[in-house]
Amino acid sequence: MFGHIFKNAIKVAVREKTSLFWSFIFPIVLATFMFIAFGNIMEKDELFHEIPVAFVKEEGASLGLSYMLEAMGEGEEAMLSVQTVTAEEAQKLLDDKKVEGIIYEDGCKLVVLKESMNSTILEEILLLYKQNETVMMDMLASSTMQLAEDAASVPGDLEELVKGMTERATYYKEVHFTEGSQNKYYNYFYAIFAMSCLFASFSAMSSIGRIQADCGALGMRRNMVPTHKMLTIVAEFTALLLIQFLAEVIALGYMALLGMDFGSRIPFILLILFFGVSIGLAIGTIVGSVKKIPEAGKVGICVAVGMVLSVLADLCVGGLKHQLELHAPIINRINPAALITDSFYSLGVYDDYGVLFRNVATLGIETVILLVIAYLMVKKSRYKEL
Amino acid sequence: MAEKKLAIKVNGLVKRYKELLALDHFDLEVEEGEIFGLLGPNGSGKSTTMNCILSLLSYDSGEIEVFGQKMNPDSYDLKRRIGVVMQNVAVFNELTVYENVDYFCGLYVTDKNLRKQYVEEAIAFVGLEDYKKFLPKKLSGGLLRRLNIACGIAHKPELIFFDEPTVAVDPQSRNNILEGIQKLNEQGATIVYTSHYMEEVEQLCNRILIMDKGRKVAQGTKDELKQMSKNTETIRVEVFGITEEQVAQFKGLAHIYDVQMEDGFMKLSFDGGSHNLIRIMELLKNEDIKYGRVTSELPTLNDVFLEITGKELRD
Ligand SMILES: Nc1ncnc2c1ncn2[C@@H]1O[C@H](COP(=O)(O)OP(=O)(O)O)[C@@H](O)[C@H]1O
Ligand SMILES: [Mg+2]
Repeated sequence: MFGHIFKNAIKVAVREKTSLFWSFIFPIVLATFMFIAFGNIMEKDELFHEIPVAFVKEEGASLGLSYMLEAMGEGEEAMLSVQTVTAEEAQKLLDDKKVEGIIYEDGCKLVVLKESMNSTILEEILLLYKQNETVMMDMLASSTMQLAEDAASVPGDLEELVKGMTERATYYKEVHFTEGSQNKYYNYFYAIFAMSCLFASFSAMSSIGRIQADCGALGMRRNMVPTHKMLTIVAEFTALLLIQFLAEVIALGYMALLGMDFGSRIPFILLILFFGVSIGLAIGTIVGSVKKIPEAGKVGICVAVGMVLSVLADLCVGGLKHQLELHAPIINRINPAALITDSFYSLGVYDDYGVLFRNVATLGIETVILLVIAYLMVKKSRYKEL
Repeated sequence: MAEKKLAIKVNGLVKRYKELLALDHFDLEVEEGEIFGLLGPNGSGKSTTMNCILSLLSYDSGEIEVFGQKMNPDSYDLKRRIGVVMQNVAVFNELTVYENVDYFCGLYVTDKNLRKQYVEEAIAFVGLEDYKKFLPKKLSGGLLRRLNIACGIAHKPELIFFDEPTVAVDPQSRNNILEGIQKLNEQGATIVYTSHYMEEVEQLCNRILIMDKGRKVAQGTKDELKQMSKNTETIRVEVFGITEEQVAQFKGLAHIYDVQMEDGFMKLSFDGGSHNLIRIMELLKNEDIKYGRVTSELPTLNDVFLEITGKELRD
């Protein structure tokens, strides 16, 4: 029986054009707009590219800095692309924006045109060098060999040290990647997910409407069948969940095609999307369960609820969420839109998944609560009027 | 004589919509195997009665039994034996004709092969074989009504409710529907048929309950009901240039209890007598009244309704 209702619910859902539009087309259209509007930012901030930098040598300086920069400019995942030039050439390269900054060996100085994420990373690399300079010098001094400029002749422990420093620098880069580039750019796409999850409410709304005797003849007929209402509700909810989740996965795939790199976060993203879609459907179910409101009115309510939650979570305009965090943080802890986006943000920023799991669990609990309330609303045995 | 088993028993049913009293201590008994007609003008409470029996509507007081058991919203065993054809079309717009019938049938019949057989039978029954793959919006009003019926009867229910299934239906579909109901009854189903068309009810139903304003007006077989009316015959004569005095002369004829002028026709109601038409024709000749068409009608349920309530069944 579950299978029979489930199968037909899928058929109905995939043939319902309005809901399908919101589920499948809306996120893709939005993602496309976002990509057109902000795509160039991603190109510029693409941190897995090497940072171009000019290096001005100082006669007679120790070889530590030049050795480290060289090491960071090597290999497949090189962080830097270093050009060793004269001071004048370096200035020209910087003026022409061919490089992000100039590193002077003399005094370990960094010059950049303007503050940017890349300049911060360069600063951190220099800081890293300064912290390790003494150790490096000792190593170089203790070496009996006359140092040549090729890495092969460098003593093993120095090589180890530089490797460690490179790793640290790479880590900085990734932190910046998630905090900087991600917050600026990926967040727009996460917002699309949050909104399309909320707008999954439409399909659930019309689905639950069709099961109520006071919402038309179809509902009356469906109240006459010998099947328990809860079974019907659960079967239809599951069908919609599958379809809406698929819609989100397609949107995710589309974003990946646009060049977004979700990397190892994909399983967690899918987890968030699953619970995000659930809460969206549950909201639609509850709206659809309210009696005495015509279908058009319920669509309006779904839009309104989606928009209000989105605005509170800063998905449309900025600022409210922060104020809420200061004055009524509970709202951010229960607002599904905030829970969904915060889960996404947490993926990039934190090492542990505490926030993610807490948010996802909250979404799950909210879904169950809403569904139970909806059931109690529609189960009503007899209707006052039809 | 063995007592007939009751399919439906309604006792003292009262239903209010806020201040409006829609059913006023309404009683109803439907015997197994009959086609029971619920006849009444629009707003008389036919749908309300049906929906109360089906446990869709709440009611203020009264008792309802179906097949000897109390009918409740979770009486799934009873629901299994009931089929409904609502006043409005109740199908999924996104499912085809076949899929719609299959969906509803599948909620009753779990065996796949049996279900397929039932669905095919139901579709053939309403004559929609050529439209199986059609979506409802591609069907004309009459075909849509037939689909609505197929969805209600595919699971071969023992008791079937029809709520005005022929409203706004073309004559061809109407005949198809009425014949179908007859056939369902012959196959053993008990039918409750509501309508405000007296001709249909007269043609179809074994027993008829006439209702008005939530109350029973009269009940019985077609013939029993007609005997309740003193009318035995109505003669209409198309007359040209008749005077009031001449009309009064007709009123004086034996067995005539009413004479009305309607759209150029003189309508004469008789409560007995024979050769009434001949006497009318003689008077027309003697008075030298020009006349056109002449018709004679036997009493209808409308006459019964008219006499008891003082108004026409259909306005
Ligand atoms: N939901 C409702 N709210 C208020 N009055 C109603 C409602 N439904 C029906 N009625 C009234 O109840 C009476 C009976 O209606 P109904 O059972 O639909 O009549 P019928 O089916 O014989 O045409 C009518 O006067 C109608 O106006
Ligand atoms: Mg009605």
